[in-house]
Amino acid sequence: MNHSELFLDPKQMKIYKTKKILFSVVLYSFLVAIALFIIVPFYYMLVTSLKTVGEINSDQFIFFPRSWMWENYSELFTNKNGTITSGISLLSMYKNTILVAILTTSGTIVTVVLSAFAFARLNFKGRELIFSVLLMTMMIPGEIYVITNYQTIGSLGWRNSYQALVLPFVTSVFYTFFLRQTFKQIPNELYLAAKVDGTTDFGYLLRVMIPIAKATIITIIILSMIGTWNAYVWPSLVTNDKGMYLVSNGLLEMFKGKVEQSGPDSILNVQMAGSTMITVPLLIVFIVLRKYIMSGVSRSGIKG
Amino acid sequence: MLEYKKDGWKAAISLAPGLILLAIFTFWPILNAFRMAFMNDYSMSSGKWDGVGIRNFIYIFKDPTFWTALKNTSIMVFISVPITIILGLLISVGLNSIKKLQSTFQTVFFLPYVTNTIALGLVFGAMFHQYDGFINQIFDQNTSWIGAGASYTNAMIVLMIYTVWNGLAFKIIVFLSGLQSIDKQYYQAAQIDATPRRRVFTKITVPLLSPMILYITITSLIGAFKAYSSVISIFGTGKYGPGADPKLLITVVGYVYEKLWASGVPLGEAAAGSLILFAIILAITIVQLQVGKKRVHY
Amino acid sequence: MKKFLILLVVLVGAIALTGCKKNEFDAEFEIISVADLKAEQEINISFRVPSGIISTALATLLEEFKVEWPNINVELIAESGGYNDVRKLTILDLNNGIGPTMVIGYPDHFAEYFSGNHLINLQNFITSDLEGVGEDDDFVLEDFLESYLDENRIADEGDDLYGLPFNKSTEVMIYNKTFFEHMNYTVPTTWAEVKTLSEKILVDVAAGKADDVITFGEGEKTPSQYLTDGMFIPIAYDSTSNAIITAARQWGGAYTERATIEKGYAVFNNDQVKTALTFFQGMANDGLFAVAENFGESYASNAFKLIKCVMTIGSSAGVGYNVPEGNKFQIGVAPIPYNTAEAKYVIQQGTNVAILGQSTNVQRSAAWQLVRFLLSSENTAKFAMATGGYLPVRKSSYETATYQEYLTTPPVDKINHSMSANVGLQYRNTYNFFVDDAFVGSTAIRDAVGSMFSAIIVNKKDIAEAIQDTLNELGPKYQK
Repeated sequence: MNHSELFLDPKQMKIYKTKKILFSVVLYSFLVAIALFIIVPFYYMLVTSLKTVGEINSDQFIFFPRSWMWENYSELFTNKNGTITSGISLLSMYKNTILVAILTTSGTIVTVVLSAFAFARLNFKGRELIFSVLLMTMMIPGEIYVITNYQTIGSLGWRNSYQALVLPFVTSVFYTFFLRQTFKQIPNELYLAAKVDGTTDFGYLLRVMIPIAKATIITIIILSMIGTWNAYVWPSLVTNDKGMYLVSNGLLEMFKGKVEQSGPDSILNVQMAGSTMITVPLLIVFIVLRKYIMSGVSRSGIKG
Repeated sequence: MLEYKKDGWKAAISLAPGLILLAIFTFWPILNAFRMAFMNDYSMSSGKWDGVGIRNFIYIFKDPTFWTALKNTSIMVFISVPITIILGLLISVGLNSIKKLQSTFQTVFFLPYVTNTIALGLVFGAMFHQYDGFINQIFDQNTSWIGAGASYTNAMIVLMIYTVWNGLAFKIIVFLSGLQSIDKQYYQAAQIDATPRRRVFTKITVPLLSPMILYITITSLIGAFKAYSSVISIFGTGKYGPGADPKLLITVVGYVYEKLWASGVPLGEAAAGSLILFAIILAITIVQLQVGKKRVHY
Repeated sequence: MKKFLILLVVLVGAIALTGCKKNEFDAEFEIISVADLKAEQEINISFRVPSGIISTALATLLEEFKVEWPNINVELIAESGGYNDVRKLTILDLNNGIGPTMVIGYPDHFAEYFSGNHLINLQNFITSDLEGVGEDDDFVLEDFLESYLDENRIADEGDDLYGLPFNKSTEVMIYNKTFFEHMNYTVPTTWAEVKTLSEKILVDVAAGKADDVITFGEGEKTPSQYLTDGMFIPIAYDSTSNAIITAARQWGGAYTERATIEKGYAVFNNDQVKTALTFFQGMANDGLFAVAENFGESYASNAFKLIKCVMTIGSSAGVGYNVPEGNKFQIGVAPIPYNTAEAKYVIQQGTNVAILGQSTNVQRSAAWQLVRFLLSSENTAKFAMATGGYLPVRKSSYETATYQEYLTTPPVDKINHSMSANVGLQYRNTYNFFVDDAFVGSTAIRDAVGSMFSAIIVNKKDIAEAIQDTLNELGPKYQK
């Protein structure tokens, strides 16, 4: 609806129009300011990773390095200057994280789909009771589990193993709850129709429910993989073998001993290159799958 | 229903994988935490404990480091969460009112959500580095934000900024989709009445968005209370403060984890600490839900 | 519901199984004779150490051991996280009924293992009559430095040894030899001399006299430039904990007091300690004395390499870290300063080796043979030379030809460590090694006083207040 139709007085319309423009300007400036606030750390990370040590030490901030020191990046892989003191290789960090992410996510999908199916579609005694118990565990902070799981992993001799990194996270009450909501929205008529056709319950799950709930399942896959990428506490507790680091704990451990140097011995540029190499893969995935990710996250937020 | 008990076996098979894993890695740990918390002085190195009681809890309550952790965590929670929520709300309302560039801005604001907490924590630590950092170089200063001799306020400010930076993304996206699902009719009615923008915001937008605001508030408070990786990544060395004071900004979660490698490995105290954390979170949630009952419109 | 209950039983069973482990280890301790040991088909033992120079040096020695004992396989578990990881993982393993056969660690680690009854009493082996096991010409208890042995008499009563010294180090003063020669300074021996010299250094540096001590490259600052930035401080002490613990000894004040292996107290709230702290804070206020943090560094060696300081006190094993890039200047090693001639104390550091109880009797005896091998006069000297900066644990090692050569005419790449070893020898004759009683929690106190010292030096905190705050933070557990 166009307000200008209501104002016949040109002077009043002018005031109205200026107010509108002023408001737009303020609004856009506000949004741009916030956008800058969000972007500045990324800019700093990239720019610093391409500087020489001298440029980092300079008293005035250098906005664009004179020449782009790609050597800082190759240093991460070749370790020519001995910046990586602990023998951890970036490639093994990537490999481990991707492997663990795939294993965890696949396992999660299997258990979550089956569990959500059971709670949404099957009838059995105690269904509501068990579900409520599970819901209650959602409230309990993970820090409580960590202590015992640390002991359990030790007693099974699973330190520095993939199963230790994967198994504790292969199921999630949150995702089960989330998927169950989606499953519940599938109209009952579909089920009855399928029954008439002679489909088994599990057949129904595979051929009807999963395809319909595709969007939610994809969201779960994405969230689970992001979760592994960001995992820090658990990996650092159960692994210390240099071949088993994931990206987060590896990044903190890589430059041990050199991190604190400043002045001409600073390795800030290589450290920032490291941060970039950890951040960029996920960003690329985000840009490609942007719509899925953002809509998935918002739906998971609303359903809660 | 006639089919009521029929699915027993199918359910067992479907639930088995999930439940077995949950039993080992969730149910048992919860029980064990309760068990260990009441084993007085239970330490992993000696494997012994001194009877059953609440001595672990008493020790924690008498420990000044615990209160420091509680203070630090509370400051972070009760300052950064409101700021992030209000800011997030304003931003999403703003985003909702523009058509051009809306999706660009949305994408930019969402970036922190898909970045690695540790990696970006290191970046923030670097940005506030005393000599080589961005902030000091731009404003031509020498303040120590998180390095040697940093004051508590300075370090807390850096941590706060990082927490807000990190937290905006999720709130914006949830609020935005909430806003977009508000029935246009309300706004149209307000336009007919020529209601000023501020009243539209407070009398229509906020109330209709209130279930979402409540949910966000609860999850943000809980999430902020569990702060840990952000702190250790900002200082870059896996500790909660500069060299001379590595426990300066220790959080409650950090306090619990530290027990895992303290002298004697006092698992009893660790378990007790984690239960205390749980109790705090439970209390916050209950309070929030009570407040919500009165304020939230469904 | 029945189905669910069955499921529940399966779950609980699974959990119970993970918890129970068949304990195959012998509670009854029995020594196996050398002959029987050699007759065994194959013996597997494991030895947990931190990775780095220690594991590398050990690997070489283990190859020689294999020649003598072909049927003993020693698995060297090298942990990348240093002694902290060695301790963490060993505690976790012991708690779960497994564990390496041998481990090295600090006295307070051993206190923790001891409190869980995990340490084998080595006295059994030492006093045994069996040939090749008990004390004999190869293995003479008297040949070990008494203070090293004392550290391992852990039990509350009696003199039994639960560990033996393994890699011992101490603290030394590293100074910029090129700088000293250029400016014509003599190396100070007492703290009073340090103070006077440092005051002189500040004056000379301010006058620019030190700016040509070496050729400074582009972007490198000269000492006078650092001085203007407030970044040049003549002497630094790397380990804040050692600084205050050594100072307490040298000024005659108490630090900790052990009641039992599981309980000890912090007793550093006394006048002597306060006097010592006042002295150091005074020097810090005058810009003469620093700790790493004053330079914005984590290690004083970083500052030393950039000539932000010209004297630094650090571990004898770490002298190598003070050598600047490209050998821009030479370093020298001297004994640490002392306060009064009656209290020439220097800290004794490093680890000991122990045999753990999660093992069979065969494994224990095999481990003992490895211990005898590693601690032979020759091998402990070899180990010290290979790792550089650690001192041989037996007095007779110093007489061996190879070690004598190492002390007097070292190869080029070992010059600095040889200097450090010489200072170590000097200490044996002129200083007193000291070590504080270990008990469960002694590390917590050590870390706390380290932070306290930092606060006093860096943040200029009031000394009485700092002491009180630290005691409060340590909590009632450590108060008398």
